[in-house]
Amino acid sequence: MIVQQLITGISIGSVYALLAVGYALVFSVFNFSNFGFGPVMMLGAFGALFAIEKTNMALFPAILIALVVAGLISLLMEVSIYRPMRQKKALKVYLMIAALGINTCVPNFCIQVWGGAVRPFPSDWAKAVIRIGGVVVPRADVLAAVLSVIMLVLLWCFLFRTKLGLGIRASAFDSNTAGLMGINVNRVAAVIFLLSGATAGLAGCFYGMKYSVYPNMGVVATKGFVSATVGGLGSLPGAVISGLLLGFLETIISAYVSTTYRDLVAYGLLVIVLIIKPNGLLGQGAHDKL
Amino acid sequence: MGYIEGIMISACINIVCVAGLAILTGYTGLFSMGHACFLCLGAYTAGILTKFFGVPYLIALLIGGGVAALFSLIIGIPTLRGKMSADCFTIATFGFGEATRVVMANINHPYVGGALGLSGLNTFTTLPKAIVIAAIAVYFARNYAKSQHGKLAIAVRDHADASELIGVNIFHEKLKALAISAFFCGVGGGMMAHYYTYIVPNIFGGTMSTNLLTAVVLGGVCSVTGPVLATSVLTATPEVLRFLSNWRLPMYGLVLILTMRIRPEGLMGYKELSIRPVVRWFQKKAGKHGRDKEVHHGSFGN
Amino acid sequence: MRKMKKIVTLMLAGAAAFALAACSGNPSPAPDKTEASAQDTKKEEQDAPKEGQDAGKDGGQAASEDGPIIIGFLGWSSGADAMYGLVPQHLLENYFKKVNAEGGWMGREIDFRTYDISGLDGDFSEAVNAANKLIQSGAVAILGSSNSTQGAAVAELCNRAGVLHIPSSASQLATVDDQGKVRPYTYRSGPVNTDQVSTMAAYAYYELDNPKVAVLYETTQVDTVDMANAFKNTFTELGGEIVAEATYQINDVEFRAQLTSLAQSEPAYLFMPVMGYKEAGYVAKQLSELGLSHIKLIGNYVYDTDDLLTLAGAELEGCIFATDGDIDAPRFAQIKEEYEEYRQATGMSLHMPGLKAFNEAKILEYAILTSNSTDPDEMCKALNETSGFDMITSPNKGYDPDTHNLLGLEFTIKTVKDGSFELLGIYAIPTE
Repeated sequence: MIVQQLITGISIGSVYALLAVGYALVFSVFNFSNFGFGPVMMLGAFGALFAIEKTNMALFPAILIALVVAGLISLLMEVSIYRPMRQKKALKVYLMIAALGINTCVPNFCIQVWGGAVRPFPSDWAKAVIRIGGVVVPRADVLAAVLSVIMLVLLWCFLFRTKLGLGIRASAFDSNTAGLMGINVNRVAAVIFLLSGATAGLAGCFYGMKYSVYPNMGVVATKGFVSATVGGLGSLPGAVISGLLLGFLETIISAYVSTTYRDLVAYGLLVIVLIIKPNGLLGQGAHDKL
Repeated sequence: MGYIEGIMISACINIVCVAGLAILTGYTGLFSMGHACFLCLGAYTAGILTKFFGVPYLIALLIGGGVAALFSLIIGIPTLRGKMSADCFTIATFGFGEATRVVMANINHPYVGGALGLSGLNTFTTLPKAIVIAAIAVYFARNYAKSQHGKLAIAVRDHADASELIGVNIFHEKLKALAISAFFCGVGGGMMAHYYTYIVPNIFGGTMSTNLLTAVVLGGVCSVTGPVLATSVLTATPEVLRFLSNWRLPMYGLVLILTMRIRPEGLMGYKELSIRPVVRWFQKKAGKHGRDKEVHHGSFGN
Repeated sequence: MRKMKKIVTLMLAGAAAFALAACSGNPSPAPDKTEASAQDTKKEEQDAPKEGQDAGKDGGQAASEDGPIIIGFLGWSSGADAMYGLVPQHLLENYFKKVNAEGGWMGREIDFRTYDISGLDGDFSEAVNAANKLIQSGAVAILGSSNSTQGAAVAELCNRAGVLHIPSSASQLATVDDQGKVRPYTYRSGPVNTDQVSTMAAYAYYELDNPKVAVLYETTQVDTVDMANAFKNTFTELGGEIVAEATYQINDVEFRAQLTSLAQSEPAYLFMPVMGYKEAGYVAKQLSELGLSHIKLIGNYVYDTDDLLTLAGAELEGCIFATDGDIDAPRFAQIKEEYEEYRQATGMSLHMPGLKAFNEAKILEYAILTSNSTDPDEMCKALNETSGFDMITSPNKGYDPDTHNLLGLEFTIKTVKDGSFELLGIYAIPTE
């Protein structure tokens, strides 16, 4: 049974981890938490859903569509809201509140347009499960794990093996100086938001497959924010580890203690982690982010 | 109870809470995602005290506020210390906010009532009382903000390192702001309990926290009267705009985004609503009290 | 530290001022209080014209004697669970339109007003505002809500103001106050949920041959907690055994942790009362995902909606639930036919909670037409004295004077077979 719970925990945690990566990416460069990921993730999932429903598309192209849709929406947010605010040198807290506004506006707008009902993700492929002995692993989770790893590897290669990646890392170190050194910070920002949006879109797809697609599904992104912070804001491996940790904690507490104390214990432990390591699990201060 | 009266009482309750939160978010720049839990604690404390122990309403409110402030220290002392990032505080408030609601719903002691909630409270929160309490709350919040404490809070928010160098105890400033905001929210919660006469833990959810924050931000940072004005408008708007009722939440969000985009410091950022025109108007009406008041309020103008 | 002290003194001073201000009704000439009264006056001035308009528009309470009959409906009409408010709202609007076309009640037209009272997380501030507004504009009766928390909050107001209140809230809390006394102006439009659940427990014990049952419920909502307790009590009193128990939280989507734990004690059935159909769908899906599809769900009337079948039709196979009527029965044929157009326009299917809310109109109709008056006390008298009348979902045998619960209701037990609902039988409330 413990193995099964472990797998459940990893399965929940993988969604948190993907979302946390999105948060960490944005945070590493701009030092603020983009609470707008919930809607991005939701719109990505709806993109895939509509693509399948309208055109009878296969699952994988639909996931690609979700990535593109989510990436573009994230980019749109950056260009229309965050960039002008950054240029005005707005305080960090204003950016977070604008993001909170997006978080209130978009899902409720979608409820008005599409209705609030939950929709099952129209893919039979994702419903199947794999049995190993007495343990059940849903196929969607395996897919989630594989795609997440691929995505993270690609992201790492991009950050550490390309020129643009170098620019991003330089901006993460100090975006003002990077700007002075001739790095186009706006282009870096565009790439960052596109990438983080895509990870959110992927997370949205998996969430939709595992549960269902509905306008308020973005609420789960808060867990991604928590994971990113605990992992050490700006640290990608830290985000992944603490995302998995949070999923695991929640599962174990729900299973062996009670859901009543789930949030209390889970968040309590996370706060203790932060008290012991103020920079987060793998956070290394300002000098070595990403 | 009349309908307009009901709306006005709701507005007064929100004013009390927002006046407190304005100090925390508007001045210290700390971002709380769970202030509803302080309303919850205040509401339950005050409700239990008046219902089962016959404690007078106002004293119950104050004790409710005190309990909320005490619990805020539990969150604040570990998370606001030293070089902890502000995000840690945000996470702690978020977790604590959710946890308070759920744990309250699971305390099946007859005083608390679990998910059934606490019912059969008296309607102690009448309009005159609510207005007086709201006015006092605003008065104190404004005085706090105008005082040395408020200035220190701004210093801590804008230049933490620099203010530490000149000898400001950052931890104390943040903790003070948090405790005060929790106290105000606790009092607001107590008022709410005695207005609805019935409370369940689920009222005090994330939406309430977000609404309070919206009012603070919309009203403007570094201002007490701005958020107070904003929350009054926000409480009344859904009622005036019934025809928009389903679009209310998207509109809320849009207004928040636009405010941040166009005027990030909020409608009344760094400004206070001046009382002078009102005082003058009041002077004309009832001339005899006028003079000493003007002297007193003279220092409040922008 | 000195600063801390200052704050404490400041607060104490505030407390003193507080007490003073509240004790003396008139604001004293101290400066801070004049500020208060100045704001006060300003506010009142702003609000005065509004109040005037309102009174003019609604004609005030006095006009309600021979003007149109104002009936208010409070429904959960926006957000994710909007179908629980919009469907009954549509049914009632249609019905009152028909009544008006036939000349209204007692020759008076019906002025039907609907309010959206949805508040996330069980917030009832909207419900209270709407009820206040209705009471002030002289409403004859307030129908709704379906949620018991909101129902109780509105009941409190209606009984204070003496306005007839007919909620479909299923919890005892709506009609009986915290002292255990019946609320004189509140009448329920459906069965009390504990009765229904007890029927279900008895059914499980006798017809399913005393199976091992586990319970999974949400701990912050009155309705679900009530139902879980009632089920546990009845089932164990009969001699059955609840083998395991687990909880979840509102808006949860992930149940695998709890389900894996519950499965350890090998239950044959899982009783899961819900207030929104989503959770039941997720649980069914996750049970089958975990290879635990031999554990069948036992549910309540909220399961009775086609939307649930869309979400998890195949996975719910064998699920059993008690509801207020058989929606496929000829009794509902006409309503269903008339509803069809709306379903196609909005995609929301007709559901049992909606029909239960439709009962509210029938109860009010009976009260007004029998007493031939819109006086709240006369209407209550009619309802108290009745020995039964026909409603939408079923006929009743009047009200229990101590609880204002409907008597003589029957419960329909249904199951899911091959992805659609099937009738298992109709049972009466177990009487003492």
